[in-house]
Amino acid sequence: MGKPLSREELRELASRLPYQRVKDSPTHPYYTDWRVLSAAESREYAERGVEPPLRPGLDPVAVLEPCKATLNGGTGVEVEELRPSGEPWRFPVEGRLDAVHGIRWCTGLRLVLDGGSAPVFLWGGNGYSGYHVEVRVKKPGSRLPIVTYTPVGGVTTATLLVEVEDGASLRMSTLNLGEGAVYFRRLVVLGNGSSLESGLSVLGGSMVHDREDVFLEGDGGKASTRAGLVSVSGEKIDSILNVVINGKDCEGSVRARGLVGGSGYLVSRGVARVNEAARNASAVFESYVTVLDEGGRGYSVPVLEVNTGDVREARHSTAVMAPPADAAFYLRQRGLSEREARFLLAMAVLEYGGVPEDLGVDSVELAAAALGV
Amino acid sequence: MVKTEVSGLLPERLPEEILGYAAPSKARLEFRGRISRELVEELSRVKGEPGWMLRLRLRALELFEKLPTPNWVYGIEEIDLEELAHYVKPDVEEPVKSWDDLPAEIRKYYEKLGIPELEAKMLAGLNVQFESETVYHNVKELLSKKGVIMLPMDEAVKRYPDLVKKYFGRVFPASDHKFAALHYALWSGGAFVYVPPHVRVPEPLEAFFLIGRSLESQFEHTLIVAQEGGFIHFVEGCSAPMFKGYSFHDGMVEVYAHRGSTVKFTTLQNWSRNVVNFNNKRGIAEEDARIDWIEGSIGSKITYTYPSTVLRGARASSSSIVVQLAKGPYVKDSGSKMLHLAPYTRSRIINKSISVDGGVNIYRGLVRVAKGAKHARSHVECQSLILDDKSVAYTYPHNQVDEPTAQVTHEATTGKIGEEQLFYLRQRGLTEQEATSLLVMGFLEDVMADLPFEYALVLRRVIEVEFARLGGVG
Repeated sequence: MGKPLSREELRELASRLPYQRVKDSPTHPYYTDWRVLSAAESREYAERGVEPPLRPGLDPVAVLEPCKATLNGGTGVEVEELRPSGEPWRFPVEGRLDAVHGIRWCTGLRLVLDGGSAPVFLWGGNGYSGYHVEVRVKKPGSRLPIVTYTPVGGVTTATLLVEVEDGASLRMSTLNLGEGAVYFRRLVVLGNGSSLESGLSVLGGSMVHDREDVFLEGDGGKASTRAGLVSVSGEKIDSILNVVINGKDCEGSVRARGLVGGSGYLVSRGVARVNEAARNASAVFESYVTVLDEGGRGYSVPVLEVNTGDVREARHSTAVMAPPADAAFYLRQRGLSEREARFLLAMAVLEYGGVPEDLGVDSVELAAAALGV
Repeated sequence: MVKTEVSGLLPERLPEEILGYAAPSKARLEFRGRISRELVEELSRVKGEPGWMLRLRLRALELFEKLPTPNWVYGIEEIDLEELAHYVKPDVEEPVKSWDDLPAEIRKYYEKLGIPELEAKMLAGLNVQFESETVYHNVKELLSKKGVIMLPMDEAVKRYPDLVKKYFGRVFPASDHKFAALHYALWSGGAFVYVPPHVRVPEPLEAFFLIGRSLESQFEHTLIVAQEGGFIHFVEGCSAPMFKGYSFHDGMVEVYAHRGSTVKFTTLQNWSRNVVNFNNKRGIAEEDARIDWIEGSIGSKITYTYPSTVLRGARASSSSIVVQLAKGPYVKDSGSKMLHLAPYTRSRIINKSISVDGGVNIYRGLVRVAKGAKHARSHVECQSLILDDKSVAYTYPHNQVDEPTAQVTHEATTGKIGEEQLFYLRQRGLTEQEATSLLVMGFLEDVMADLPFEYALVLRRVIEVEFARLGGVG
């Protein structure tokens, strides 16, 4: 995870580091529009959090708002408020915004999951909101539903650090409702024989940079991420889903489904990496992006890095395309209008990771929110 | 092995071993040291170039000085440009048409590789470069009768200035990256090929490049223009003897395929383990034109090569098929780029790599579909075989689609030889070595099918020889 950093070191990095060190591609130097997210450096703190129009049907163990945490507690869950202090910053700093976040976040939470469920809501406001959540998972059957929302005009940075102990398991369901500018990084480290099922639904915003890094450090670990991403007119999503395998006999997979409507912009990328110590591992990355309209842009960048010859399976596959003609024909034949067909498609994408069901969110309302109808 | 009329050409050793250690060869002229305006002006002067070419070189030099060194290029820091000879004119005044007219110390390299026999059996034209200049050039009369031009690049600049000026540097601009700029500032040698409208060249043309000493740069420039409805298959081969230190190859290929024409470009890269190989290849395909890149990348210390096609006209198509072998500690960094700018364009990329004995294989690709390239289709397949625990394979593809009617698909797998497959073959009486050989060659077989028969045999044999010493294949 890198060396813990003091606030002085973070300040120095925030003044020196670029947003990213290496350009992404010859044609698009940066897939993330850092100009939008750079507002996190200078914007005033938001006065209060704004609840999204779409409310999850779960009682949260904690609601985080700008500089305010409301804790409710729950069964099989320990909850503690976390505040910025003199403690060294443990989250990896790779670019300028990571350092800025390390300095500016103001609301945090520490959770211990003993097999319970701990829904957490992060409500961003109309200025800057910064959140940090640390989670330790001790037992199998633990669940972590997370909902984040940033209103138009707001900018949120958030980090989530999850450690899954040996033999424990976690079902993590993340709903990123976008709208404003969002920089959300999640880092999950799994021990021996532990497992992670991660479901993710992301809606576009003025710029949503959503990144999840899963590290299978112990032997026999399993991690599976399923993501549904929807970006419509004027919205941007850069989704990065990485899985890194260091333990023996591990399985890591990332499967993403994306939908671009109107002039939306969606990048679905990630790295599946099998390191030298990871014997007999399996790594899979899949990404399928559907572009519906003129002006829409859909990009996929599936990276595969294999550092050992002793690999059970390492593969990736991607496709960026219009909806298959036969699927459109099938739906239209059954009397669905084009608008209804698009709606169904958005619902299917957003349900792909199982997030609406986990969070008690109505898929129809979620699809309506995603398509702006 | 099946005996064929070309079986006598098949190597029993690696090309660098066949060539042995570099023997001293006389140079008439050599430029070495700091890359300056004076050096570039002097190079242009000794070549007797027209003013426009000197101006092009000087513009490129300015770009070279301004552009940053790409920070993702692994191992590039090993190159110290100031210690290299940037131009070496061998002891041959003008390109000769008979092998007997070449100095013995140069001729023997090509004879050892069987190039004269290959030329006699199957080539319509051959351009041979030693160090920085073409030393042998011969084209069958049939080509001249059809109006096909094949000339050493330097000669084409003087004899057909208007034609060359129209295309030179227009497909792969000097501003693309630092080493493209360096190439344009210092280019020397290479071949120019022009295919008139509706002319099909039935037999391949070949250019063969050889670096004969260490601490030398080679910057050959190959330009191929196929007019409407033309067809040509161009093959380039490269090799070097063994020497101490390293040499640097920064060559370039530009292909312009006009409406309805087809250009096939095959590379058999067999540099010795002392050569850092930076190879720039790009083509433009107009309406209904086709460009096919085929590359067998076996040798070199480090290779960076990304054959690219700009699909500029409607229904243009392109394929890029690369087979690469990285034997440790050497690195192959390659990939293909397809830029779809017009409707109904098609592209296919197939990359097959084998990493062994600590070798590093990298695929770096880009498929870009611009807005308006309606119904464009592209498919990318990367397959990597890792034969031991020390070797690695990385895949970095970028698929960028700005057009909703387009379809871009990508598949990649990385794996080892399957235990079940080995077991199946062992059960039928094959030794482990024989079984591994069969599986490795089977892995490459569908790519081999796209190569001309004779070249497929040669490539197959080189891979067998390369693996034989590892106890795996051959």
